[in-house]
Amino acid sequence: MKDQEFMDRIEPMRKKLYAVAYPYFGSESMAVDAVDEAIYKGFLKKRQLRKPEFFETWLVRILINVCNSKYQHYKKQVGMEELPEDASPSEIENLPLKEAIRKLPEKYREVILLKFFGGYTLAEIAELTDSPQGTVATRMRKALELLRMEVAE
Amino acid sequence: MNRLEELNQMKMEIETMPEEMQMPTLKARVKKRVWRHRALVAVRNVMITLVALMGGLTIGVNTSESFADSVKSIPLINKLAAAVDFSGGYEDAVREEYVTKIGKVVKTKYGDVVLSYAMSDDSTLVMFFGGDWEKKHRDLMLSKLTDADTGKEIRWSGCTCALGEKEKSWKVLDPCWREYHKHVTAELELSKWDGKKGEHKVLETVSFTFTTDKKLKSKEFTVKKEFEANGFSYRIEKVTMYPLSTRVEVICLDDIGTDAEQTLGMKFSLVGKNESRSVIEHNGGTVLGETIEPGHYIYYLESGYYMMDSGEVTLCLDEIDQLPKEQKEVIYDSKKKTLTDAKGELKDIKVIEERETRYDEKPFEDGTKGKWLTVEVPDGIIRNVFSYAKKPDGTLGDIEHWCGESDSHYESFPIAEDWRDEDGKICLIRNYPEYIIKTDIKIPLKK
Repeated sequence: MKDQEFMDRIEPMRKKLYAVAYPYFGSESMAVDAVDEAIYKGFLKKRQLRKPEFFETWLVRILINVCNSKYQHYKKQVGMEELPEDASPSEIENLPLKEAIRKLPEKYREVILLKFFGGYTLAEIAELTDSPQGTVATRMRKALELLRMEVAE
Repeated sequence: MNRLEELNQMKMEIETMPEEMQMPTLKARVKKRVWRHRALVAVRNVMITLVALMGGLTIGVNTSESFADSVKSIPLINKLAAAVDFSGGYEDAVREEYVTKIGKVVKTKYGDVVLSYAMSDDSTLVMFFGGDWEKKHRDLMLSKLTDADTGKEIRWSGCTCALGEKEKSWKVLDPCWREYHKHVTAELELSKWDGKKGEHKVLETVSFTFTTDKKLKSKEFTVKKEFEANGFSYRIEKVTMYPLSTRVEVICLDDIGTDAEQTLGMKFSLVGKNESRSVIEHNGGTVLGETIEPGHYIYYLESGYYMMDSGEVTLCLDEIDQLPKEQKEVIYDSKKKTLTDAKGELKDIKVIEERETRYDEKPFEDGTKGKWLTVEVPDGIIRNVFSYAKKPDGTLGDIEHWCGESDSHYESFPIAEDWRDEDGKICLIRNYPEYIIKTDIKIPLKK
């Protein structure tokens, strides 16, 4: 992929990338930083992308990895602990949603952010997270239960 | 608010993308990077061929890292530069990527405080704070700096706080110090302005320990330029350019002792090919802990460090603020309510009243007997018009507590009873320039 083509493809994705990254940190500058790093990594690795039709999936995957990695560091700094996968909703029900999302187990948080902030379907999330669609659906259901959210399908 | 309403609110928050996501600079830099990369690859290939021809070793040149660092920080450069647009020198330093990425977070009840970037040299430390703390109603103030290696407190002074009101901007704090410290701990107070009490109420204290790993050597210019102004002889001794500020040292050559106070300031600027630099708008004061001999003057300007790269820079002395000796002493007559100097009654400053208390506050906290004196000053005058009172025994009493009144034309300051002579007169030492001398002194600074 040529450099200009890479930049052109980034252009319509900026908003979505920012929307996915922002809830991880709740901070504008940290979200921009994460997007920034993901674009830079993508730019350097663009030759590894064999099928240009998967550009968005590929870049969002990079972004998720960057966000997860930065989030691990962020959690240590602020002394935040994630909930275990078998946690009960009562452990986060009194927290504001943005904090509750940040406390979700990583796999649950990913699907919530991709669905509600990235606007992806379950099939697309399955593609993005390299997981079977049934697994994504289960994670989504558990995440919504933990957050005590009822969403119309 | 239920979870769905919260979700919608979160979506609203991210509806407006920050400016740096527009990435115009990224595009430009990527183009530049591509060009540089091609050039480097070409050079590398030539080198490999040459070495191969010479039967030497195979070379593997990894140029990607420097590119990587460059590209990685690009979208932020414009916003960082905009945050320090009060100093052309800081802007240059940001654009030359003199900044160090810090990215440390402290969580508070009022949101996360993030130390995003910092840059420093032997004169100044500049810190960029972000995060979602409520900038609109809170302020972040520097309270203490410590050298993290030695544990010793660092003396500092001056700090820009002009950006605290801009909700979306970075908050920039730029204390001056006397020497570079690589590992620093900065303690800050997250506070709220209490308008009724007229003070900042500290809400939380946050602390960051960080390293600024970029430091460039200063550029020094020995000037030794002598000149006369209003009967006084001066010498511009030396100019030191740091990446973040420019220091100008001037000596008054006359043995005038305390009369050196008559020279109240010199206005310098740096003029380059296409741009110029002046005093840092919100900073530029002398650094605490710096010993300045009588008759010596130190001025800090915006840095011309990177301007030097594009050729010659000229140091211009534009103005000298002086106070003629005969106008230095002003007599306040408490019976007639007048202020007079050697030329007669002052026309620009008028006595309004004396009073025991001001908003229930006594003029001296230590129990000294005295009153508040309120004067009227004209528009545009430099505040704190009197710095000392000369007591009847010849010693000086500090006037350090000035208050602007709600009507900005009025100012009040404490006067002690024992400053009055037997006629009820007080001798005040005036503190603002009567004369501004325009000069045309230009000194080329060459590499």
